Amino acid sequence: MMAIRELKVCLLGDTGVGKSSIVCRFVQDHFDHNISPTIGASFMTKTVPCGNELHKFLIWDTAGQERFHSLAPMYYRGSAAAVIVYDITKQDSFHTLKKWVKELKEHGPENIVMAIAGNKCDLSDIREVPMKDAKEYAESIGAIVVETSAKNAVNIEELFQGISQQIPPLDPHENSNNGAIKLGRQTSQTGRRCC
Amino acid sequence: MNLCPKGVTEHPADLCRNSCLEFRVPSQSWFSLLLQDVLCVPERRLLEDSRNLPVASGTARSERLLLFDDVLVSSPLSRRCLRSVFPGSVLTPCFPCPQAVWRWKLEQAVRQALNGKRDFPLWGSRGEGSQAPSRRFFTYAFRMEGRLRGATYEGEWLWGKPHGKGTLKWRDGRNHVGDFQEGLEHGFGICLVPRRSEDRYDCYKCHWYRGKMRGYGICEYGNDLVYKGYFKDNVRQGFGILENFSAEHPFKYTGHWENDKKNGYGVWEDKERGERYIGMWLDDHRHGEGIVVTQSGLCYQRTFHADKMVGSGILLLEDDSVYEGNFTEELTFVGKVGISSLFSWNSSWIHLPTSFLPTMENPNPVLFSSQLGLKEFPVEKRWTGIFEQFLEFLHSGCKEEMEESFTGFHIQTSKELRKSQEYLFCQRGSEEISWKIEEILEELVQHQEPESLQSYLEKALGSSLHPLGKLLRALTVAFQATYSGIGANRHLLAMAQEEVKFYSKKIWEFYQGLLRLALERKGRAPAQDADPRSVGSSLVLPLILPGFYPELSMLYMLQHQREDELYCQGIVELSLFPDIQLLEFLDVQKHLWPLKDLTLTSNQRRSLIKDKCFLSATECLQKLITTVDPREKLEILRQTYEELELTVSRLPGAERRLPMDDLLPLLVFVVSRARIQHLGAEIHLIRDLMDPTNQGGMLDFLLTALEVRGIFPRNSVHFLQCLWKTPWKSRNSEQGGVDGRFQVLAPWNSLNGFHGIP
Repeated sequence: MMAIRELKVCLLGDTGVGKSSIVCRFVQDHFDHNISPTIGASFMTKTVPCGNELHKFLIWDTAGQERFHSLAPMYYRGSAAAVIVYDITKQDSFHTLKKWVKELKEHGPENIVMAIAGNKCDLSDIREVPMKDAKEYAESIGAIVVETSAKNAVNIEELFQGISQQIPPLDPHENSNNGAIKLGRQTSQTGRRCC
Repeated sequence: MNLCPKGVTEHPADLCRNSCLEFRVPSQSWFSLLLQDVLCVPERRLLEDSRNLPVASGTARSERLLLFDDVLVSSPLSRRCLRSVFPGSVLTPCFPCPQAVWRWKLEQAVRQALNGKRDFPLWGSRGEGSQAPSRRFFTYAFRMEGRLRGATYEGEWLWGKPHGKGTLKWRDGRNHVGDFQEGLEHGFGICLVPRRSEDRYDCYKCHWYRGKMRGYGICEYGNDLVYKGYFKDNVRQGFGILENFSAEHPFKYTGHWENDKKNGYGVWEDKERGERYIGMWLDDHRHGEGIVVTQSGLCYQRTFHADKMVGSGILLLEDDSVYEGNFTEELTFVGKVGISSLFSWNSSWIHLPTSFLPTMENPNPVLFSSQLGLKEFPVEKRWTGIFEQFLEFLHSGCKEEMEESFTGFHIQTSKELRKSQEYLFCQRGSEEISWKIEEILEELVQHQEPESLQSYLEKALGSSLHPLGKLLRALTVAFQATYSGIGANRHLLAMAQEEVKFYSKKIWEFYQGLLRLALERKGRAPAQDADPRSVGSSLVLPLILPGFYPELSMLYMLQHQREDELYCQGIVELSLFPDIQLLEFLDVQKHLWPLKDLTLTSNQRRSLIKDKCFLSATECLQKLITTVDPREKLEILRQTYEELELTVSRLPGAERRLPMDDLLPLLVFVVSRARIQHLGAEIHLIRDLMDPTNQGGMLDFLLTALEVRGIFPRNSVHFLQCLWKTPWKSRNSEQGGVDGRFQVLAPWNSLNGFHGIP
């Protein structure tokens, strides 16, 4: 049996850029023997093979509204990866993305894998954010970047495959006897909770 | 009847009075006199005389033995011919070649004397009564024996030693009632010891082991002190509680003892001063690291040396200000003081010297964790005495008599105490009351499967007669002594939380120990421990939580009081909104408003309806406080979400699968309507105590989603301010327009949803 690794992934980005559509598309056509529990389109899981491991993505959606911004640290805490989504037809959403990257760099978990997704690439005729800008920016911060279309299922699989590959392989010494390892950190100290 | 005239040499064997034969060896000069005057009375019958029937062949004539029906008389020289085990045992003549008839007659005489009958059977007749019973009941006053000298014993004997149930009375007024074994107190006993100065008694209700107190016992001292706990070799040793019930200087000590003195980790509550000391002890003195919590809510951590505070300490006030320095017990500072504060500070509590200069040398609140005692008292080192007793019980192979004495802390009320004493004293091993250890072990083996294991553990931990249940009761007592009442101080939360988790780990270990033992008894190899330890303790934790919940949840409430107060304020303000106004305020997308169900005009909706929308979800969430188990609490969260989704799914045009952008505002709505007072405390409690395997999973997600309570205070107050300043209608008319003031006060409120009411 292949080892299953649970990876927490959080979705960040402005409201209306299609965060959950990307995940819905990714999760939708999967064939899972166990019916994974979900919370609407807000919490979903999908297991994909990667090398000799199975990666089980636990995907945490966040609310994009500004007022919920202060809650974000609770969502990206313990995440192995963050998918930051912008809308290629909205320059504003790309600004927001930069803010998220900055926050993750400062307060996010160490070694978090960042993936930038420019969604709605099917609407490239009304594009506001050039592909080049996104690529340059992603390179400067060392993040994965793809332009996706949740509507037409473009690059969705690739996005998550890219994340899978970036996840450092398991340290054999840390391997517990049943093969599963928790990536989520034990954050049980009460004294340091952020709110 | 005293047969010995004054001056007769008494042999220690002059016992057996009332219930057995007397055995007298008077001096030679008295012997003939005895025979003539004293022994020969009409009531007494001579059964045998060695002159008629020699005791053994070749015995000298001067050695004479006379057997009467109540006394055996021997001439002084024949003393060596008889050997007996004293007292009250069968006399065994050790003649070189004892006559069978003599022996038989002797035995019959003893039996007869015991039965109080005179039906002397014929020689040769056999039957039950041919042997004198080895177990007897009679009274005897010890005169020569070392340990029991001067004591009178009334009770059961076996082979000449107190054995069974009996009463032992000393001349000095000491009095022991209980079980004996081979001449020693062994088993449960009640011992009264008079106090020297006053006319009062110390009453020990205790388990004894070979003449010494050992195991669980209760001692009610004559001076109104009561000790409940473990003894070893007649002194208080291990875990125990000493309480003073007298009017002056009442106190309670819960902790460890060594050689009759407070030693190790212990909690001292001074009821007069309203103070509690949690920390280390040495020889009845506070010695080492210690925390003092007071009724007024302030607490400090100091190093003690023989009851005196030494060095500098940390003083924490209710308002989160932190003082560091040297201060006395009256909280007067000596020398320099460092102050830092997590929020604000005032010095009204402290008598500061005039030379006091606030120095901000250590103002780093991040460095200073407001939780005390974590480093000083590692959780493994607390309450070791309780676990040791259980371990001893396990190592002894779960002997039943051990089980009785290994822990008695399940006894709480006096009524239960009486019942339990009956059980301990009279009904030992009775099946109706106790669970026999064999049955317990058998059941353990049968309930290994995860499903039945859960219900079995629940039953075992709930029963005050199961070893695991007893262990849990003892832990509850220790926990309450630390954290209830004065101990409900939020700086102790981490300690308490850590302790509960550790208990669950320990209980799981002990369960495994019991199981291993049960399997070994059956000759089966213990199953290799496949599942990691955390699985087991996370199974135990929810089961033991009810016992610790009141104190623990109180600590959580205190710890998160401030944030919960702000949040409550927010909720109160939000509760003034009618449903529609609130939905709009929260930016809930129009198509998710569940108003189609309500047959009201738009006017009515706007002004009247309150607490109608998402009612089922709200009511579901309110159940959160009705349960203790974190698993159940998470399940309630899940159901709340389901109710939300169900309500939304009935609306036309709404997608069933809610993305977070839609879900979160709805959750805010439900949370604000559910009005759970201590939601912050609840969330933290669930998070700290839930199964760690949930981390990152769906339930963790739901719990995190509930954290929306955090945005209440900061925002709703501002919003209300502008709401009252900008009336509903005027805001409505400013479609798309931006009210400058509104923007400033509530910048987070994107105006997306403001398109008026259709």
